[in-house]
Amino acid sequence: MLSFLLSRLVQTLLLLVVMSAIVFAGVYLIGDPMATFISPDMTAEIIEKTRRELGLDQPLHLQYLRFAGSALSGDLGTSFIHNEPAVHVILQRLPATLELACVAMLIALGLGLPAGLYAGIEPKSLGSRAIMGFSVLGFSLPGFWVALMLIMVFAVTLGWLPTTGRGAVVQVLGLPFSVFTLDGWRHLLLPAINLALFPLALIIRLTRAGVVENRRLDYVRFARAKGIAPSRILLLHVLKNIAVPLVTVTGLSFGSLLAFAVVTETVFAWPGMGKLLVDAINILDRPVVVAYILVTVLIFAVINLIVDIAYAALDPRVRLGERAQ
Amino acid sequence: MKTIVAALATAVAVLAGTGASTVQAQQITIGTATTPSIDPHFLFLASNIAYFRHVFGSLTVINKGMLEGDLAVSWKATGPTQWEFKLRPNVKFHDGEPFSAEDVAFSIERVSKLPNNPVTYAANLGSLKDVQVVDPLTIRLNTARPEPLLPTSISRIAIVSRKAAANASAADFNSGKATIGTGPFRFSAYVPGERYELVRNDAYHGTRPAWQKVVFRVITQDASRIAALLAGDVDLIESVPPADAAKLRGNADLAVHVGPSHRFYFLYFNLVQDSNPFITDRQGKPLGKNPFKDIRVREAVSLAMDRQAIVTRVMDGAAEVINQFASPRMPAFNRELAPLAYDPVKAKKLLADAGYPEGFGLTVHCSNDRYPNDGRMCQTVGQMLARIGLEMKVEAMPKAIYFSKVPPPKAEFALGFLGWGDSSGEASTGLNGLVRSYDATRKTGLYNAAGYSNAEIDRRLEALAAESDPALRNDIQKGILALVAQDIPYVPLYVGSVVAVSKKGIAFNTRPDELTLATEASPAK
Repeated sequence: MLSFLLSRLVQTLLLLVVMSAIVFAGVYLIGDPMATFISPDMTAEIIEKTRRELGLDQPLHLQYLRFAGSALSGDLGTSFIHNEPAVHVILQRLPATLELACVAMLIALGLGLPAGLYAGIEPKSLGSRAIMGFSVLGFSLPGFWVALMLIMVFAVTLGWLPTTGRGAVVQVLGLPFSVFTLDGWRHLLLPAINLALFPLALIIRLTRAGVVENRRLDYVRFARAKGIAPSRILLLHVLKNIAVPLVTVTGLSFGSLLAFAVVTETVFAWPGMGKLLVDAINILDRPVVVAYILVTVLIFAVINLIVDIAYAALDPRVRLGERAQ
Repeated sequence: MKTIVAALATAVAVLAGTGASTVQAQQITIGTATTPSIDPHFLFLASNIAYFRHVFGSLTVINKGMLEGDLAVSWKATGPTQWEFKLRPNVKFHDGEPFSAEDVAFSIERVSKLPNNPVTYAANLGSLKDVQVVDPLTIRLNTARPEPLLPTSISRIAIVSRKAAANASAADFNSGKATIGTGPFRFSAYVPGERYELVRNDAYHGTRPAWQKVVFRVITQDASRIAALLAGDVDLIESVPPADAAKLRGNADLAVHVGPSHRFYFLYFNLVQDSNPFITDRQGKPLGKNPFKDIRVREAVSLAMDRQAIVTRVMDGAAEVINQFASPRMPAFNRELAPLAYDPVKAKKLLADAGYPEGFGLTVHCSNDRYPNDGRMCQTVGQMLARIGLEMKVEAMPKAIYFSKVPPPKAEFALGFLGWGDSSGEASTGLNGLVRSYDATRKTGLYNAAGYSNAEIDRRLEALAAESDPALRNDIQKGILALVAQDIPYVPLYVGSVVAVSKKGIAFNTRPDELTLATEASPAK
């Protein structure tokens, strides 16, 4: 277990170095941050002074070394638009995104599992066909379109829910959360549904496929022959056997919900990390973009670690130490 | 995707229209398109000036096109390189501390010294050398060169409280601790990326604003901003795409506010290179020469532009045709210049005369996320030039990529679309930036995307820099505009509009400098 954790740590560090170099070079290639701020009033002296101050006059490799040097001491640079440390700006937005992604994931699991199980047991019924049809829609409808439709129907036409924003928040452990207020839930519901749509479809299809496949296997027939109640077979034995792929997909989807809720957050003006990333890319706020990717790498590394540990817990055949080699 | 979103927004905008509720008196919620910087000296962008105008005062201020005093009551040139400002007495900051010349000196110094600032407000201080506090209500600014526009440009410098802002960080401004000004509103709360709340400053020295409370909601997506207005979540929204505004006009619960902007739009040619990868023959092989060096070809491009159609069809009426490198709202706009004709037949003939009877291949470049309809304008220009026989390609790209390739010495494109706005309302910054010869060592013509160079114009701009009489300044600029019109380095197209939409029952004045100010809004009588 310890060697597994250690090798994971080394892998993650390597990944961080490689990703930082790739992203840094990528953003550098896109263009000059100064040029996006073209202003009629800037004189040449001022442009040059600013370039020097921000280190933009240096060649790429020197800029990267300078960045890497201060990154080692925990400083990923200062945001060009917020004038605060990039990591701070990102972590400030993390609670909002975390809360949105968690609620979305709960919706996806809470609806997706029962629906998938049902569709697996009764694959030919009308209900299953409806569920499967819905899951196809969940995959194929573009997220921003669904988001706008949700706003138009529930906020503008029916007037039940607010269109955008986060609503009232409550400080819990020093962090702002909106899941503890009614107003917060009213704001949270639409973006969470919008965000849940894709993982919901994924979980439905995965669960259904697993159930259909497992029901034909010997252990299920044997259990049935033994006279075990069908519900017990399904919820205890089958579910356990399809849990491993489900955990993987849930983990990965949760990671992308956290890191790339970009479209949903932008349309619903949800003040989370995704919206921050879009704004940062739009005006080439390089420190925030690079720091964001690094934070994302960390999030995925942690989630994958949790997923692997969950494997071991779910499937006795899996040994973590061996997987690492 | 942007266009699809916009199209959807208009589609639903028509369907809806029941949601908007009555205006809640005393409070106005404004849906804005940009994230604010609460520190008024960080990131010099028009949108940030709009935010700080509510909380902070400045020495001067531009209202209805006129320069007025705010924290200064009068100013005069006390030497060729010196300006003196007399300050307003008995002004108090939001924390009750008195305002004095020391706060002005501190603010000006802070602007130049604020580290890590990609766009510094020091751009508004010209060649400022030092600041002299003569007495608590008199201050003198010494510059290295004559700076006739200083009283105008200093309107963009917010005056902060020396006591509250000394050593303040961005976090201190975001928390409100350092956000102490003399403006019509006081800081109340700021949630990064979401909302900025202000309350009225009852001790304000100027006109008392109509609203007790102002809430800015940051909604960057155009379609979401419109939806928020339709649902009644906000009372007023800024930066409404013209096509959406045209649809929203039909909604009885809403009021559309349209006014002229200083920003004007034009095409630029590449006049420098002998060959350019974006100029080819009709088969796509490099042409090997630059047809735009021939003025007949440039004139043909201008004649191919159906400006009236651009204004009515592409901009949905939210624009005005121009015939020169300036906006009609600028005092220097030259009214003696003739309108620019639309004549595709003559354009074809000019092309043939210049040796291109079959036309040639050309790519037009634009941004697609900077100006209203910039992506659509790209296609429009492409189609209009295809009509006179050019083999057109259209390339619209994000501003982050586009703008780094426009100015010299890169100047990569053969033909491109650009807008230019100047909050001071003079034509001179545009002339100095885009028309004056580019010189890397003397730092002139920094945005001269065309690579245009005219010795006579350079000489006149040199003279303009030292001229402080407004009438003479206008005459010099009018003369230069006429010279530019003769040479056609740029093809003027139209001047844009500022479009805002509110609930019925709110009166709102748009401003040519595109600032969205709560003080310009009031409950309609």
